[in-house]
Amino acid sequence: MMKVALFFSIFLMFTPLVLAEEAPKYNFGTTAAAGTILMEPGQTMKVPAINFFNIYGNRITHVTLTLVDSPKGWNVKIEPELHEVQVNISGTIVTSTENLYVSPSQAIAEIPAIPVEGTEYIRMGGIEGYVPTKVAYLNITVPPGTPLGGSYKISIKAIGSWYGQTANVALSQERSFDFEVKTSAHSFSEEVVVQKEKTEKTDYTMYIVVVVMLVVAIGGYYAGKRKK
Amino acid sequence: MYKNILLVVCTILVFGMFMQSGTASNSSSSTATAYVLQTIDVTLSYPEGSGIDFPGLVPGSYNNSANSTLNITITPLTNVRTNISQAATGPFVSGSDTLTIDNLIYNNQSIFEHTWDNNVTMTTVNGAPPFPNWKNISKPIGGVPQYRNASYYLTIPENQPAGTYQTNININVTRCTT
Repeated sequence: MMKVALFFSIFLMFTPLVLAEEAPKYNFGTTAAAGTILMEPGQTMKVPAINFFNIYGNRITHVTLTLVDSPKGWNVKIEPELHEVQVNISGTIVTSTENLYVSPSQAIAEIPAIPVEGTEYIRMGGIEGYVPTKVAYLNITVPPGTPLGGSYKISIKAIGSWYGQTANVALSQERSFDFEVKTSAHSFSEEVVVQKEKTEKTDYTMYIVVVVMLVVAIGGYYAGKRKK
Repeated sequence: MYKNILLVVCTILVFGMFMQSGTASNSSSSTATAYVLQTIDVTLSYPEGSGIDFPGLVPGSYNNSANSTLNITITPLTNVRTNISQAATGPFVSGSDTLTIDNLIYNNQSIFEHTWDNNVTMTTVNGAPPFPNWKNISKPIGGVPQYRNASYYLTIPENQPAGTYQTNININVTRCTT
């Protein structure tokens, strides 16, 4: 029994070291949170655009986002905006310029009662429970004069990178995302505009049949009365 | 007798008129739209080491193998067909010295199965997938990831100043739309 306890203690003592020495796995998971975005001319809307997750990696993924393409005259911003974060890399403080970071995580059975700030929990095929994700948003303002029924493209480039790469070749992952914004009126109404010159032809057949049958019936009724 | 007939006829007529107006526009159709979100999940790892390193190279040495292959794992969470390409963000740099990026070549095999007939010179332009098996990769089925390899070889020109040179490579895994 003592031997087992000793072995277990030694195992626990060395486990953090083993984990620290684990070969790096640089994971970059992305889900496009929106494909087509419907907006009204003149409207400003903040929409979830990309979910980032890191469930197969063992290093923090630092994400920078760049607006590659947007319609001329539109105001499109990425949130969180690019900002500086202090990162402690093995005892050395470095400044990272990024939009967000994604720590290695695991799927969880239930969404916490108080979710971690900036984290959204989503279900994914093949994974039991909920995957914690960080969300990047698009803040879009459509100019008021934009025609209804138009289709516009917004392109985002996302780069995932990792600290602690001391080799001659450092790696990052790049991914592109295209979003389609369609301009439409949110309150739907439809009305067929009838031109006044064209008068609708009414089918009077039913009315004629009714009148004829009524005349026949009334005639029959009076004929019967006279006989009496 | 005729009074009853008249009553029945009138009732039928009134019902008939209501029926006609009630059934006139009874057929309709609706459209259901479902949008399945696109997920791409890729893990980079080194089966033989902790990075792409070229230790101890001398000027005038050609096509020196890195000490590890790069494994590109497209995990089962990926629900689209994908393409892989890669590009450097600039030359190798050591302080004020540089080593042009075209000294780096790569192929789609591990360092153990390497042959020289399919090497590609590294550039800073992210173009089309350089190898047939990096193009139109099927989405992982049944929980089995898709694995691809890359191995790297570096030439050091004669008179290259001594130093520790580094560069950055972007691995680009995108949805295949063709």
